[in-house]
Amino acid sequence: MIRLKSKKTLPLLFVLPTMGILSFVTIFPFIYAFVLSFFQWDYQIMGRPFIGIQNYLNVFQDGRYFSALGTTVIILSAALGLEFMLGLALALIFVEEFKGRNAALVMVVLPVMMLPIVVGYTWKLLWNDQYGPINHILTGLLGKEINILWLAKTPTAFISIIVTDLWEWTPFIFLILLAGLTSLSPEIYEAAAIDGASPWARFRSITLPLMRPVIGVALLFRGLESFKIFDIIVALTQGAPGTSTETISLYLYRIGFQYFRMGYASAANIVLLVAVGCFLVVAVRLLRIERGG
Amino acid sequence: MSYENTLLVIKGASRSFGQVVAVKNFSLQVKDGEFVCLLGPSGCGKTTLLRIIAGFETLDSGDVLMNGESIIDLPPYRRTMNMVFQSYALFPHMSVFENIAFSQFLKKKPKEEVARKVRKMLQLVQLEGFETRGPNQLSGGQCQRVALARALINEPKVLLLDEPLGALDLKIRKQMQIELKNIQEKLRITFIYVTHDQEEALVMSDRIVLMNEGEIMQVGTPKRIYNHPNSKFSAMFVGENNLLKGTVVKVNSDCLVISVDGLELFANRTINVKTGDPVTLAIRPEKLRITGELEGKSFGNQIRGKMVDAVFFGSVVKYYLRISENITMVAEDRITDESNARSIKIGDGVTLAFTRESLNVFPE
Amino acid sequence: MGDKRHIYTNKEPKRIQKRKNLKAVKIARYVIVGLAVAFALFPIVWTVLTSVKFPSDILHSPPIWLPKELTFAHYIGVQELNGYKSFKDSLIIAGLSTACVVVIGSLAAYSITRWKTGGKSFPFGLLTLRVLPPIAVVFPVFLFFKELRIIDTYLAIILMHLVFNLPFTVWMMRGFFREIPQEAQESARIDGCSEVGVFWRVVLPLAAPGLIVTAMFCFIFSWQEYPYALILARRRVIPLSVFLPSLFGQQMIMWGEVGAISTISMLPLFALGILARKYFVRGLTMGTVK
Repeated sequence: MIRLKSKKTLPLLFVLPTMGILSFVTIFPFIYAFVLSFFQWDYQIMGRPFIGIQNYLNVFQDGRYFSALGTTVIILSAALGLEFMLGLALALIFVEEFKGRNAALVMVVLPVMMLPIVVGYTWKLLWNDQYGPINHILTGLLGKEINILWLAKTPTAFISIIVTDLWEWTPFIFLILLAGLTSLSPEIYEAAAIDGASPWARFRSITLPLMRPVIGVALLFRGLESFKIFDIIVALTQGAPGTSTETISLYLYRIGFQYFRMGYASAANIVLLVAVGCFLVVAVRLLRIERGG
Repeated sequence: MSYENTLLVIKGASRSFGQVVAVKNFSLQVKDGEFVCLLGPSGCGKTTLLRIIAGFETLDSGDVLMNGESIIDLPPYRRTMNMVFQSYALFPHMSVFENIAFSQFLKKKPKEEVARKVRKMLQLVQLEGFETRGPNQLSGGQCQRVALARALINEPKVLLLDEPLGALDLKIRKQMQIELKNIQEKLRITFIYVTHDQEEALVMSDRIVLMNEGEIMQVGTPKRIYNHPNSKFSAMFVGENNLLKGTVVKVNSDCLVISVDGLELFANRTINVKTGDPVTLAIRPEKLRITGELEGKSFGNQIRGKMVDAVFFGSVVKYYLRISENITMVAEDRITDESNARSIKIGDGVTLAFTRESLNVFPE
Repeated sequence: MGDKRHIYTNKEPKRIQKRKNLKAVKIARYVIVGLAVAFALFPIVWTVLTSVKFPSDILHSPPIWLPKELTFAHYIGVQELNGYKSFKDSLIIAGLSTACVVVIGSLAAYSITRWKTGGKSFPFGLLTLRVLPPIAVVFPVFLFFKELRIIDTYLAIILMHLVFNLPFTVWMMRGFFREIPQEAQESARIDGCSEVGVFWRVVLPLAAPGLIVTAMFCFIFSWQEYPYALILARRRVIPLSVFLPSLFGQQMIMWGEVGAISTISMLPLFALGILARKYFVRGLTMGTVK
């Protein structure tokens, strides 16, 4: 009898700590925040009056919320697109053997290892209009005086953020794509080559279709990470000029921890979590279908 | 050999990978429409050689000629060859039809023509009706048929096959051997077939090129190689052989007398040796005749032995016979009728008889 | 024969041309790889250089590429700013949270792989927890921890890092456990090993390499993490990622110290990264691509 009982309890005993911690630090706080989202709780105002779904209505009328979402999506799509193209090009080069390949690989991948916040400050110095080397290099390359205030104006601030993000995360996509490419059977390429397929034809009709699941994983993972973009923005622009480069994470941080509008922040957070959750479900479905087929 | 209908010539081909010599000064001529097997143990360089012919590997020295012209600078697809891989190398994301039609669409052939050709190919490999299936819905044998069809649709002059049946189980492999041979005979395309399975090579090829450590050991028809191996390696690699070590005691005008562990055996004088030379003898189990009594003179060799074991293999029985202190030989006997099965028991004394021709002699 | 000669004379130039093409491809490849390496290394090198430049060389227009004189004053300056205390905090947080997460996560992963606890989609459900935006997640946690009065303690940050590394650990270890042959576990059972014994004596030793790699990645992720730490750290506990921005609060930016602390923060990660090189992709993609 004791044996039978232990057969059932042991599996549960093993998952208990994980479930305990996860629920302690996620589920309870979420319920708490959910409740809070129906109250007005600001640090400037006394008391916490119940205001129903007013916070949610406010979220949907908050221009800054949606412009922060828009900024996030712009940075995400531009960075993701460029990172994918660069990563794929690099992966196609590195999939072949050449002298010094391993050493080059380690060096190219180093940026992924850095703290994102350090990346942000490192690049803040590089972008600096007076003391930074970027303007200096451009002056040398173009042969005329370049003096761009990179982080102070809207279009260049975006460029700076995107290039910085690209520097840090291209190696990530590159590594995944490289792993995918190396797992493809060389014999398939030889079979295609002997059939007369040009390198371009091989890339288009074999590499791309076979790499689709891997590309899907790379883009999904990177896209979700990119959506959280916070560290680099804090370091580089803090949303400036104005709030033009303010991403959703930064805005949410400000509502909660600078403006101390706890009730409103709770509602804004829940809206975002639901949105990301929905996106995730759809994305995973698509990926599963892709893999199944 | 005459150059008349020679299609492919390999001249002094050599290739090393770092310290490892894969192919060493290899020369061979292949006739148009011939079925040649490159046979050898794994790592003997046969696959490297095939890939050199296909154009996937470069040569350190030597040349490959097709119809008298060097082709080593041509890319694989301009060599009028095609290849079938052991792993099939089917495109997993394409249907059977798309796999076979791949090269035709690359050449921008009109749709109807391609469809017609694919149908013909499917008919040839007996896969009609499988057009829309994906490679992962096919068995191993079917995959290899598709790979074959994909290779043949280009009408290559030479088809290179790299252990194409290696991944299939025995029954399907045997069936595919016959089918491949039939297809080859029907199309009269030159096949260069790499295998490590000696039985496969014996069944299918017109000529076997036996390789070891990057070099040719013996070239010849299956019959020739089976009956007259020219070295200990050939004798050991192709078929089953009883190998005996001996010393030449007498050299007559037409025959050799060789002493093996105190027994005297007679062999035809096929090699140049002198008295006192150490030699290796090889004789196939099925060439040994077991009798209770001494037989007529025609056998040339007759020795006494004692049966130590008999193993039943269905159509044949193998007898293990001790002929001297240190030597046990295997004899094979075909069972044609159960009633005539021998009544020899373990421990019985028997006589082993075999002809002089069936005993092959190699220098040590 | 005449034909043949014609072909041969035609062939020589072609052969040379082909070699030239090959050479051009080779050169192009090295140029691109060189550029990529330069692009990847330049910011890192610049940061390290900044940390040993004199302040007057750092704030110099046009920028000075190679300083004539070096100084380690910034590394001492970091000390005065309590930067090494932050290094210690980061070590404690990353170290303790990694140790906990590996133990707790392995247990859960084993239960999930061996007994299919929680059903098929359970591990994937866990994984989704990780992709939620940290700011959105940390907000309710912050309110909750505030009630518990554990803001600005190691416990708070360790707990949070535990939470965000747990799904990763479970997912990774599940992959490693799955590779262990069932027979090994079953034969241990037949030999009279208890279930806990199977896990402890058979499964864990076999999965040790995977365990080490997973731990390395958890450490790296914890070390790099910023948003959770930003919100849960105050005065007493300040990990490196939170310490660094504090150098920008003053009127003057202390670029030298920023460079120094950045350099210090990179070192353990580069070391780990090079050690775990083989498993990099697996760690980064949680085993979805091998």
